[in-house]
Amino acid sequence: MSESNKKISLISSEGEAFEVSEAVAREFEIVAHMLEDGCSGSSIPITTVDSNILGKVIEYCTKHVEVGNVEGNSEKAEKDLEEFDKRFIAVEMNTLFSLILAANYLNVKGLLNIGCQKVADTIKDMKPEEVRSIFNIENDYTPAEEEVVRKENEWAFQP
Amino acid sequence: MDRISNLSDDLLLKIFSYLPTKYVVTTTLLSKRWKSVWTMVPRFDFDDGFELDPSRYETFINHVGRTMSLRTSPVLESLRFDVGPCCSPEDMVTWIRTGMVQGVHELEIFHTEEHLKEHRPIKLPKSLYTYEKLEVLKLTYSIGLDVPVDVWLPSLKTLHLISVKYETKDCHSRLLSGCPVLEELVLDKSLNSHSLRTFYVEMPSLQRLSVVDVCEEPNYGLDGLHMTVINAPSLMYLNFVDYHDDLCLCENMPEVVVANVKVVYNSPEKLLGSIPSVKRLCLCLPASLLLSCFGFDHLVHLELCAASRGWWDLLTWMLESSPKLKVLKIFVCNELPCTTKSIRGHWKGPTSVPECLMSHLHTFKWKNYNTKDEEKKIVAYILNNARQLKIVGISGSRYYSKEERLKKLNELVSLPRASNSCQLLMD
Repeated sequence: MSESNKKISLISSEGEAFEVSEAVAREFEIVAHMLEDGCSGSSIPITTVDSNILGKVIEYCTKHVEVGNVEGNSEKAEKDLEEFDKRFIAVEMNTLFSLILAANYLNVKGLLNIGCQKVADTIKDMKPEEVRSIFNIENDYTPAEEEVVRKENEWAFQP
Repeated sequence: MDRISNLSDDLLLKIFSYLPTKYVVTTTLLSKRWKSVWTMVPRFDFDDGFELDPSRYETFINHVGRTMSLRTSPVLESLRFDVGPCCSPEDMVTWIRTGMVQGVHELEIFHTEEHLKEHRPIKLPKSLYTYEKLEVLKLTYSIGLDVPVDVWLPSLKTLHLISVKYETKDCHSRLLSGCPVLEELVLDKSLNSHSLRTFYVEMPSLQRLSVVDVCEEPNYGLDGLHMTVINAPSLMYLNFVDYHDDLCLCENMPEVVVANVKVVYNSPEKLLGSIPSVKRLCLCLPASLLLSCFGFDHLVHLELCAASRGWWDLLTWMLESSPKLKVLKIFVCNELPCTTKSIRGHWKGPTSVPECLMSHLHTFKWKNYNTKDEEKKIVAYILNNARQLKIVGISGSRYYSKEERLKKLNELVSLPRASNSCQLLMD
C-alpha cells in the first residue's frame, strides 16, 4: 500500500510543480518507463508541456485512476467516465491540439484516442471548404489543380 | 494558426482511423500538405450509401479501385464493404482479390438487397478460402458461401456469419472444419432454417460463441426438428438465443464463465446444466427449472428477464441454487415487445433463507418494477433477508404516472432491512 501513496512531482515547461500520486503519474506511459528504469527521483520534468495543459492531463488521469479503483458497479462507472470524457474534450481547437500533442508525447492512450476522435467527428460530414475554415488551413492549390483533384475523387466529393 | 496541418503523419493517420474512407479521401483537397497523407491509411471502409442509380454507382466502383491502388501503407490491415443492390458479384471478387494481394488480415462485408427484389448474392473468390493471412472474416446478409473441399484458413480467429446463404448443405460445417484456430464464432441462422438441416459447431479451440435465431416459426423439417449441435469444450463466453427446442449438446462446457441465454422452449436444463462454472448469467426463460437438480456454485452475477411467464419461480430457484451470488438484476429484455409479467397467484419464496442472501448478495436492482403487491413481496423478502446488501436500486415501470410510481416506491422505504448499511435508490 505504501507505494500507491507515494507522491511524485511533475514539472511543467514553466517550472511549475504538480504533485500527483504515483498511480496517476504512471498513467503517463513515459513516466512509467522512467520509474521502471530506476529514475526514482521524486520530481520529473515534462519540458514540452505547459502548466495549463499539464494540469488538464493530470485531471484526466486522476479521474481515470479513481474510477478504475472502484470495484463493482462497472456499468455506471463506465457511463460516468464516458460523460466525463465528453465534457473534458469539449474544448476550443487550440487546447484540443495541445492536448493531443501532450497525450502523444506522454503516451496517455485514452486521452490521445478521445482527442483524435474529437477531431475526426469535426471533419466528418463537412465540406473541404468548411474543414479549411474551422482549422485555418490555407488552400495552396490553384483552381485548376483543385478541379483535377475533385475529378479524380468524384465519389468522395459527392454531396 | 493552422495546427492540424502541423501534426505528424502518424497523428493524422490516427485521426483518419476514426473516419470512413470516403471522408479520409476528401482531405486530399484541403491543401498540398494533405494531398497524399491519406494513402498511408492501413484500413479501408467503403460504403456505397445504398446507391440505386447505376451511373452514380459507377463512380463508387472507380472510387474503390482508385483508392485501393493508391495505398502506400506497408500492409492493408482491414477491408470493409457496406454495399447495396448495385454491387455485382464480379466487383466484389475483384476488390477482395486486390485486398489479398495487399496482404489484408480482416475482411468485413455487409450486403443489403432491395426489398422483395431478386438479386445475385455476392460470392467470395475461391482463393479466399485458402488465404492463409486472413484473421477476421465477418459476413452479413446476401452473401453466398460455396465452400470448396480444400478450405483452409490457418490464421482465422474470428468468424461472423450473419444470415448468409449456403450454396450446399455441407458448406457450413466444411467451412468450420477449415478453421483450426478459431476463437470467436457468431452465427445467425435465421435465414437458413429451411435450407440447412443441421448446424454443427464442433470446435475444440473455440472460446466465444454466439448463436442467434430470430425466426418466429418453428423450423420443422420433413422428418422432424432441425438441430444445432454444439461441441465446444474450451468455450468461455456463450450467447444463445433460440426460439426452438433444437439444441443438441455433445459435451459439457466446463470453462464457460459468461453466458447470455434466451430460449422460449420448455426444457433449457440441458443447456444450463452444461455450464457448471458460469460466473455471469443473463437469463430469459419462461420455464421453471424446479425439477432440475444442478446448481451454479460459481455464479456471482445474475440478470433475470421478467418478461416471461413464471420468471418469479425461476428467481426463487436461482436464489436457492446460486450460493455465491453477489449481484442480482431483474430487467426486461429489449428484444421482446412485452413488459414485466405480473406474478400470477402468490409468490412462493424459498423455503429457507438461501445462502447467497445470508452471506454474499450486495447489489439488488430492479428495472421496470411494476408495483403490484406480489412484486413488493419479492423486494420485501430480499431486503428482510439479505444481510450483506449495500445497494438496492428500484426503478418503477414507466407505464404508471410519476405520482403513482413514487407513491408505490415510497412504500418500500419503510420495509425492514437485514443490512444496516443498505442504501435504497429509487426512480
